[in-house]
Amino acid sequence: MWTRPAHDFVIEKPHKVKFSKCFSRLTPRLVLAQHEPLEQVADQKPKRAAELEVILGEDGYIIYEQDRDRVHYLNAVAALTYELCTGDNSFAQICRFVQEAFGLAAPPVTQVAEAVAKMREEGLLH
Amino acid sequence: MTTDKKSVLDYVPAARRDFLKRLLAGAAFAAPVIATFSIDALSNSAYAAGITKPVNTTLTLTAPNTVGNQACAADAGYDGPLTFQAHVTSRFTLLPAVQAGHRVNGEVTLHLSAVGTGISSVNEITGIVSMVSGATITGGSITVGGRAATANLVITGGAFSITNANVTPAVCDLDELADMMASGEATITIDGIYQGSPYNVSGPITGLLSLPTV
Repeated sequence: MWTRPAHDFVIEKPHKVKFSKCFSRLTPRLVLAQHEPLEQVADQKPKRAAELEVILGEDGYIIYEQDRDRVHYLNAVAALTYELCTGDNSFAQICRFVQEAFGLAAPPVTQVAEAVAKMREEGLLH
Repeated sequence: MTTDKKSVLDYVPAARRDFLKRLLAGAAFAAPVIATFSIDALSNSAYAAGITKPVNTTLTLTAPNTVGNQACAADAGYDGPLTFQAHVTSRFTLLPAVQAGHRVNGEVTLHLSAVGTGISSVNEITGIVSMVSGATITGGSITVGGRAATANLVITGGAFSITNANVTPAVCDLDELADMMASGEATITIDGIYQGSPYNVSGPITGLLSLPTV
């Protein structure tokens, strides 16, 4: 028999969080992935890890980490996101650049957030 | 190439700027794909897949779209359903913020084109996406075991086509992707815009068994 877990969530009035327009549609997956408050993530300026060898593949980047003996494949959107992580661009700016590059109606916050979180997890970004 | 893309490309190192410019010029927006695997795992299938690891340990990739992240045994073809379906919707959760988002959903029908008789080989997977009224589609992808199995999937007018050129290193080839779909291990995700903001819906792919001819 299924028993309701003690830590289950309770449906209540949605949280109202004040942050930038780009960030206003962020899904909780970014928060769950990074365990950081939304306001902090929006202002973060992710930066590419140094000393990584980028190989230009047929339809994306192949990044080789010799020290960790690992290789990463990035498609076009992930490659652009990776390049925009210069350490000078905030997450909100990166979302806006990707939006402009592909002519999207709105910043692809969820997709960029997942890409940044994944690249951080893999050590491609600081 | 638009002016916007030019300004974005200013952030790209000069050595990779032209390459990325060409890459973006022919690409529609799709979910970012980051597939990671170890060189050791690659080594098992490196020669068959087109990867060689020279003495200086610089990786050379000659056929990135057909490289597997697992030891790809000799291709035994595919035997299974030819038609698949998936209902894509927002993930159910009790988190309040998610429930406040769009409640977009739709149906995806996929059909395999196979060559050969008996045990056949899949040479194309075509699909039709039908979303609720007002929801536009910007891209999509298929994942297997949480990893992207397709790349650069362009959905035009709700239709898309997957060939071996769209298969990522997560699977060996279309036969393997079809096998994963038939095993219920594949999930399809659709991205789009609804009422001015992005949505992201997904659902498991299930095979539709055809009745035997009597």
